[in-house]
Amino acid sequence: MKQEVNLAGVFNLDQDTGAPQGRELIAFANALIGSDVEALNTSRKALNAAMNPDAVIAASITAAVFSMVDRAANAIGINVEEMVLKPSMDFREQFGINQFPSAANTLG
Amino acid sequence: MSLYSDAEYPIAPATQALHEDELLSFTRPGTWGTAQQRTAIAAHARQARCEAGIQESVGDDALTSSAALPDAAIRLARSVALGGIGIDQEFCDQAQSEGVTEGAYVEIVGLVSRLAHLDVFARGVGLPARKLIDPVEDKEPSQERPAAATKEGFFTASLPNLPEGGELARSLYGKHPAPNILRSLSLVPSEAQRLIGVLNEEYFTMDRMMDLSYSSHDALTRPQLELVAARVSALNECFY
Repeated sequence: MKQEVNLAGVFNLDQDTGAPQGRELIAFANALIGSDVEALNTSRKALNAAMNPDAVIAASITAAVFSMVDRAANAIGINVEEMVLKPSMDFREQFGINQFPSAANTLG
Repeated sequence: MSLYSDAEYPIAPATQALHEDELLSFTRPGTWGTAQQRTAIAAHARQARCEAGIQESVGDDALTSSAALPDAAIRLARSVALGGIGIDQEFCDQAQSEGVTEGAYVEIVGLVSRLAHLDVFARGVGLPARKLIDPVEDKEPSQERPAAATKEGFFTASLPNLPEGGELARSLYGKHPAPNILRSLSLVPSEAQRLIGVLNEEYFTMDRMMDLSYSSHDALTRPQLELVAARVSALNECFY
């Protein structure tokens, strides 16, 4: 089943992604990367309640994987491949992704 | 006793085994660093995350003294630990001018990135980070650089895809062209192998990536999984 997702919800926490349990997942990812332990514990409980323990594990694994690849990408300065650049042009601008320091590795 | 025997959540044996192997790798000799150097790097990286308040200390701090390291190596470890945001070619060149070889640079990036993977996971499931194990110097670093490694537009050299990358490229990437992220650490093949291994186990293999109906975790749909990934990458200001 195709699921439409509102990307704005990834960058603006006031917006709904439209994905089931999107709010809980984004709140958990946010807290996991942040410094507020209470917010992390609260969001973990909320995710567990909204979904299940396996979802907490899967979300933790995913956040962990991307914590790894983001660091490698940023520190090695890899550029985004051509085939991904064009389709992402409008939302990169819209959500401020082009202003990330690492954007310079692709955009110059 | 398994790595996460204190977990409240049911962590799969395969995850535990992978993470245990990863944890061991931080305090064993690498291609460029001795076990003690790598242990010190890992400890500095953790210390940076604790000081920034994004992780809680498990008492590893003393391991920063496992080896004397150039300031540039510590600076690199700490920067990558906090996301590597703002690292540029100048930063990379400066580290090399201050004694961190290109290979050591890549190895440090790989090690610290993979340590973040483990530590973020632990935090996610409500566990303290797993303590670093004492260093074991069971072999000398080879300091071998792949003969086919070349500058491909990244800050550091990397092993190209086939055919230029030769048999080493085939063993690392398979027969199809690998995207930049899989080649990013390939100046140190053992680091590239580990990054690719984690991605294959915990995210997707390349052949599954473009199947948007497929999710690598039963508990999350593909869109849900990608939402978490996108939010983390946005916070890490990762353009890639």
